[in-house]
Amino acid sequence: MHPRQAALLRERRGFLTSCAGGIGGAALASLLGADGLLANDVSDAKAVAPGLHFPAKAKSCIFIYLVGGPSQIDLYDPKPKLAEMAGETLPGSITGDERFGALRKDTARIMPSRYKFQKHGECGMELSELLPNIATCADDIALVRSMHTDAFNHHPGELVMNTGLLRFGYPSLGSWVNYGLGSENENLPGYVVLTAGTATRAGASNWSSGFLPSDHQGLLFRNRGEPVLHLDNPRGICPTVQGNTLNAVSRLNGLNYEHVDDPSIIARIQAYELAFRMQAAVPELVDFSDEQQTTFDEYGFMRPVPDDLRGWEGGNKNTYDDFARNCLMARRLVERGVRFVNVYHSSWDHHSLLVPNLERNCSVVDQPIAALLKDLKRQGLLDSTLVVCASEFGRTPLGENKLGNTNASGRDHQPFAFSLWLAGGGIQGGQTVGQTDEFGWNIVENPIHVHDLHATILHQFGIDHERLTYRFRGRDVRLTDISGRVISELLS
Amino acid sequence: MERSIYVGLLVFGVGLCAASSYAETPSSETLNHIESVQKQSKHWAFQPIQPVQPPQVDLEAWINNDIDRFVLERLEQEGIAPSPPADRRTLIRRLYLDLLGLPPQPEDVAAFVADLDPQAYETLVDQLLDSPHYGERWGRHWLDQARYADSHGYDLDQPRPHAWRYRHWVVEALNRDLPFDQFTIEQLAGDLLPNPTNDQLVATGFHRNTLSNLEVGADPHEDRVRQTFDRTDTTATVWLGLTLGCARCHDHKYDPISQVDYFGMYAFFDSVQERDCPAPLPEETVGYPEKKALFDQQYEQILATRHNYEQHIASDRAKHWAATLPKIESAKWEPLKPYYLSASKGEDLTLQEDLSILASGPTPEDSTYTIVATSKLPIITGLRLEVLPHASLPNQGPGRDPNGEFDLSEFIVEAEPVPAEDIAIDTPTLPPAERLELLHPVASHARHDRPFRGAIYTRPGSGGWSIGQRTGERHVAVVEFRKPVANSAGTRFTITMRQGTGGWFQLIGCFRLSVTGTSLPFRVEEIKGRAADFLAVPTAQRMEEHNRVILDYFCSRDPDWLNIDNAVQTRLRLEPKNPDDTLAQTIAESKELRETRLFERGDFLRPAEVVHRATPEVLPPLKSREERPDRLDLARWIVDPANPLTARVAVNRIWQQYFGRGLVFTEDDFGLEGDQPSHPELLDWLANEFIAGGWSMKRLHKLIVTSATYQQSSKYRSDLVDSDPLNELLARQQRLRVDAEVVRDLGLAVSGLLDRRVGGPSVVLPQPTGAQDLSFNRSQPLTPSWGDGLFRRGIYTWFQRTAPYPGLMIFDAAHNNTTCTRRHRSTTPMQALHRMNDAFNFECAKALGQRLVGELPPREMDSVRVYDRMNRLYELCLSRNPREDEWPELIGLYEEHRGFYDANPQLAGEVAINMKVDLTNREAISEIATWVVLSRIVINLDEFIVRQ
Repeated sequence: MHPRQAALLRERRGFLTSCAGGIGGAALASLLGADGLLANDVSDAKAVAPGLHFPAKAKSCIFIYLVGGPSQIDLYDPKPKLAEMAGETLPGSITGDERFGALRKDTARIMPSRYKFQKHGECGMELSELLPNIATCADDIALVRSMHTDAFNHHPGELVMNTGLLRFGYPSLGSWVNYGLGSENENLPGYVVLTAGTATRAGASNWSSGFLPSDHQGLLFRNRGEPVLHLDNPRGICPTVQGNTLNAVSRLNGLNYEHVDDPSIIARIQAYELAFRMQAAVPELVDFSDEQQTTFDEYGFMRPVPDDLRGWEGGNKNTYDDFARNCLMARRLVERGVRFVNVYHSSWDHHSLLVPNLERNCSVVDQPIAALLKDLKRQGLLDSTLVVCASEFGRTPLGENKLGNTNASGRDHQPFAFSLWLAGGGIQGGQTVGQTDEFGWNIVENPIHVHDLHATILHQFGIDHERLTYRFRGRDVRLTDISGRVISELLS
Repeated sequence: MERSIYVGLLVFGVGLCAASSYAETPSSETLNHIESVQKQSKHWAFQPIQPVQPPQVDLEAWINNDIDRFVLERLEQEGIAPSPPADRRTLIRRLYLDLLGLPPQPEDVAAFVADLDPQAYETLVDQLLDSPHYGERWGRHWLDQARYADSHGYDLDQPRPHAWRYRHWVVEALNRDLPFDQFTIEQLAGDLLPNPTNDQLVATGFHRNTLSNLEVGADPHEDRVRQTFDRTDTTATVWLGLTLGCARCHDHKYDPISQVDYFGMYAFFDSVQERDCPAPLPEETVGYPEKKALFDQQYEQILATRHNYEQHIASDRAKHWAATLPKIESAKWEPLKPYYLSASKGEDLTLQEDLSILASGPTPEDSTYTIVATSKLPIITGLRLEVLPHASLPNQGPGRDPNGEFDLSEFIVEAEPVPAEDIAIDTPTLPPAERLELLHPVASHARHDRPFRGAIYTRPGSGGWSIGQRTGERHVAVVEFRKPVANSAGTRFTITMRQGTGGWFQLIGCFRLSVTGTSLPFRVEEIKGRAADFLAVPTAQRMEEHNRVILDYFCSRDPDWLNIDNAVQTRLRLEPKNPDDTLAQTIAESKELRETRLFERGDFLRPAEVVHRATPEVLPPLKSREERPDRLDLARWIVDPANPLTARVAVNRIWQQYFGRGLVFTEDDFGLEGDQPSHPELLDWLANEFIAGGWSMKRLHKLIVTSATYQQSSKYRSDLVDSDPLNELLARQQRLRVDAEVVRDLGLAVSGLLDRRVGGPSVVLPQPTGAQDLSFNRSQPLTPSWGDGLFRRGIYTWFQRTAPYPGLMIFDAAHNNTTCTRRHRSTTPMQALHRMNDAFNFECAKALGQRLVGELPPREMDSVRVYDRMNRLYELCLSRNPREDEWPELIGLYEEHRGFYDANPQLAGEVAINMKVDLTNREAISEIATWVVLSRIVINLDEFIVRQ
């Protein structure tokens, strides 16, 4: 980056404030200044943010999303009873009147996990042998075994977990947080999305800003090659001219906004402003040469990959490195003040052939996720960074037996009792919250809805989920719709 | 806990219950069926399309055609006034962008503004619908649905060189306004029509656009099943607006589409066979024999010239070359005698009599050898590593992996002077030494993708030196030192060899290190392939074959031969294309029809009961020509006016392109979970009109764009922010960012670069640096097509599924892996970076700047013509002149940049590279650079890529 361009960057801030009054009146000024409801200019990534409604514990969130519904029965929620009753049906009193898409409840048989669970850490958290690395972080993790959601299928399920609602067009959690708090680093997007493996069902609607201003949408980095293209000026365009061009484009767009009033023009202006600042900030962000080899090794860069990946739905041979790189990238992003990072891996939708697929998926994510937690802790960032590892739902303790098939090799979706975990960002680690019955079928203690999870995450950012609203179609809409409670047990 | 959402998860059709092979039929399922029948009986989209009378409205004067009555009736109910019409400049630009995807020329705009004929607008619409570019714009919308791409997809993602022929058909079919029912029938079942024309076969390419997995080890049966799934799902989504895919694995949760219904549809496509057939374009066949004969004559002539040169001149030269060729050994090498040897994983390294080093003992997956040795040569210029065969090694070595191969991942040489008395010490401590910079790494042999330089210039993820299958032989690698090492008392070398970082036991088993004092450069050419082997054969013993290979190799680096060969290749490129080489991907029905079975859970390994071809029960019955229906019956059933979905779905998709959203917002889901139509009567009226108008798409377009609703201003209505934030009521037009291809086309059109040829093969565009690294197909990099075709419209861009052209994807082009019925419209910083910095966009800015200066040359008294050029810039790019409030800004920008470039002539010169400008005239350079910058600003404006 040319020092001249860096100097221009500083001038840009002056430009924005000075021209805002001139070109669009109050509306434009407020939109351009939409650094969030809380326009703070803090640049020390380790300082704790003041919060919107009360003091915040977390400044950033890394939301690891394992798309498709990982089996909590095989990963997080040990059920020895299932082994005793392998091949039997569940008692009718337990299953109640639940209905399923593929699984036929009346003939479905109990399918115990074939994986061993052991106690880990000082807290003695029980975790599956499939997660040996994450298990070493048990004392930092709060494991929730009593999640439930509204949606039975992936697409709506992803929307609920990300936007709180079963409908398109609503803002995602990351967008709400950015809307509420603004960016800590005006040179990078406040919300970055990283993906590995196969695609998600809901795609960009998972990180959409919905009706919120579009600069709060998640920005998807490319998962192959350069994460962000076109960072260099064309030949002959020096930083001065680039800066002038940007100013001119903003001002002329602003004049057109006065004529047509379309807020999408403001979004365009903001995109250009951010693009210009990203030209300076992104090269340094994506250049990993300042990282130690030990860091690469810890995250699992260039791990050996199994030869035969046929039939695997979790990606291809590149996915191992992609996910490791994304985890390290997530740390680098929050280190630089990016508010919200999604790290996606898909797919964990194991209706059949659960064993080989789950094992491959775990071998992709276990090491990098554990490395991320340890790295954040070592850098002193874990206290201010909330890490969540979740999916849209879990899987049934019953083998999936569509049309009475007895050779079930997978599990069906289970939205009414599943597990996820949180760490850092003021979460009390080393504890397990909530409990399911001995079959893992129903919640018997402390049911936690997705709205409760969202309320808790917002709370850690110093946001009252009932007070962070946006008027849309004549209604004050919020992330948690009309419910949600902060799970105080989770807080440290 | 909320559980009501699971109601209706199992909705089995009656047919299934009767035909099912499994015993239990729980009463709950019957109940569910009744429930679903009740739902479907009420659901609007499954009702016959109703005849609708356009309503009466108050504001009769606003009505252009009946569309407006439906829209206005609703607005009047809500007490909302429609927006005034857009001004004429906006209108003509809107029409051009919507119908052609190209901007109007300033002259077209001026003529339309001046034309006071009340019919002027309609005349313009007719004229645009007659343009061949109409087929390109609307063809692209259709290609999204057809998931058109130029490669197979999946990891290997090989090219589909003939895919374009289908696209060509789409463009051409739309241009001749092939009625939508016929358009449908030809694509789904052109092969089953009586005596199908070539064109009708080409049309079936629609269902050849599915991904196919040609990876070794991919199960062909599984791949065929997946393709058939895709054909089923795509057909349902494109024509029926139903997401049938869910019913593949289980009964559709919400819709009355059972799994048997699904496989009934699937069965229509189960016997599809892929067939590539000759499909010459008419212009290719005309005069071909004559052109071909002429070419053959000329080509044979030049081939003879090349042959003569090879026989009479090159062969002698090659012999001389081979005889005088310096060998890699030509330097004088002195073996190093190590006194310290270590292997990091505990293997044994033993120094042998010939000073080679042999590894033995355990074979770890990877290891690092450290060798310390001293040399007394006064000046040392380079180092040699020999890897040697040895009987103790697998396959004779020289590597230790089971094949005798190795992987030298990193090769580090450190050196330091040693005092004379130090040389004899046996176990020195290892002090830090200076790392030598190594140059010109060359090996006598290397696997083509694993050269020796990979061990010197290491990068994360890149491999080191490997020899591939040439095991059991000696191979040599040499490097030069950038700075020769000169120590009077001797030099101590510490050599570090990291090996097998890939983890495959790829360690070197036997090797020797030597140094040389031969003056630089001592390296020799690295000769690859068989020529290297045959050159090693003594001259007298060379066979005919040997000499031929050596001659070929010599020629490949002989400038004279290359000149002649270049002429041969140039001529060859002029070979007239055999029309029959133009193939089309088509489908046909297998002779032996497959017996379709339902797959449990959609898993092809779990076939269950036999299913017969049938359409979903909830829709009107299928009429078949024979007892067993086929794809042609299915296609005719789809476009039967009695089908309640097809016409509604089609008009809705066309409508959404004009207003940004369909009358039914969920354009791909007309089922129970989809949105209700915002204007149900208008939807039905349009569907009826469409059918009654003979399914003419052009007629439907004209109907929509001549409505007052369409012609409204798109100015934002702050009075409607709360009541109608998404503009569902259509009280205004909508500003819409144009599609990715049109973003490209706009830049090309205004700069004058646009290549307006219609149809033909795809163009591989150069990708920005970094776009293709690490893509799945990195083993088959796309070669950009330079020159011809580089400036064709976006629709012709080669679409490589695993590495699509970023300029398209950044602006939300379809991924073309599955059908796409609506694109997102995002606004991102990535787009801004692309608009500002992409090389192609900058080319457009330069061409536009050049155009302005060239079209409006300096005049007496006005050498720069700022106002003229600025007006022209705005007319070209935005179809209007600068507004009063913009002028001061624009003039200021001109002056600022002209001043800047006057003061910075070298920067102006950089901008002017490759432009037509007098390079001795500093003012001219400064002026043109200024107009490039101004052009760049204007094509970066929001308004440039927005249809207002």
